[in-house]
Amino acid sequence: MHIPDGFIPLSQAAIYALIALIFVARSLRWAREEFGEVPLLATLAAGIFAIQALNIPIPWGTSGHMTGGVLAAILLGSPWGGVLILTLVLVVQALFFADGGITVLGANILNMGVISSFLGYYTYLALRGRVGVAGASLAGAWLGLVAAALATALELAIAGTFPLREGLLFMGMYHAVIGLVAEGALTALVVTTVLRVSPEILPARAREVA
Amino acid sequence: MERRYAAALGVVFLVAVLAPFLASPNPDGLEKTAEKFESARGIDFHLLPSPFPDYTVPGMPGAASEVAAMLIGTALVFVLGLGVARALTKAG
Repeated sequence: MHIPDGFIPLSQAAIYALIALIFVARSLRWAREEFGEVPLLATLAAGIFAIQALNIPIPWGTSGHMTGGVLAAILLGSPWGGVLILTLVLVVQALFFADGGITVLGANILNMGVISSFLGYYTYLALRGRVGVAGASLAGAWLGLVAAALATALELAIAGTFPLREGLLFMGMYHAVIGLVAEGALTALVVTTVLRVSPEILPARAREVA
Repeated sequence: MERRYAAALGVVFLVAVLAPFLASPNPDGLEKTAEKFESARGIDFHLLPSPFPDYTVPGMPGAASEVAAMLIGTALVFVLGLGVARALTKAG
């Protein structure tokens, strides 16, 4: 759901950029003060870049890919990890691959990095003790993606690019399915696999499972 | 520890190489929604020209071009991630 250049007027894009910048700055502080697993962060960022190219077909002649903010947040043990990793991925995509606009980079970071990571991560924490790691990962990732899609629809409605109600309806409908098959299932699969195969590479907070 | 990361990176680059062959060519959720609205059609504005438009390396043929673009992008994100994380850790 990378918003391209031209879909949001510059004045509005600047506001999203400012909000995103505050969160990105805070995520850098988080990395400096609370995070030490350098190779884990780089590997996750590369993996999320790669998986974002893997569009999975869904009904209605549409497709969607995993965005990965919730996965990063769960494996790094903090939503700030999701913000930082999505920022790295989205900057490279916008500058080198014309995937997501440069002028709307802030909006894309806000939606897929900030909103998705925070909502998804805290949903995961709230549900983990009750439904287990797999179910909580799936629910958090699904909710994170759908919320990001609805935020995107709202921003595009404010911009006058999408009508509000149909925009929310179609973005919500497509991403409810994408959130299940691409985001939710893959997040649950990767989280449970890493916890089983090599939990020692994760920070202590991410190893808690109850 | 190093072997764990080598294995993880192996999976990451495998996904990167296979993605051009496995990815659905259908429009994504946002593109499909945009197709429905007159107000979102025909907007074609890029602030800067991109070196690898649509995940291809200009001048290379078909599939090789897409695989090369994915390898470049994945390596670029990995190196950027290492650089940023290392710089921050040192600063602390």
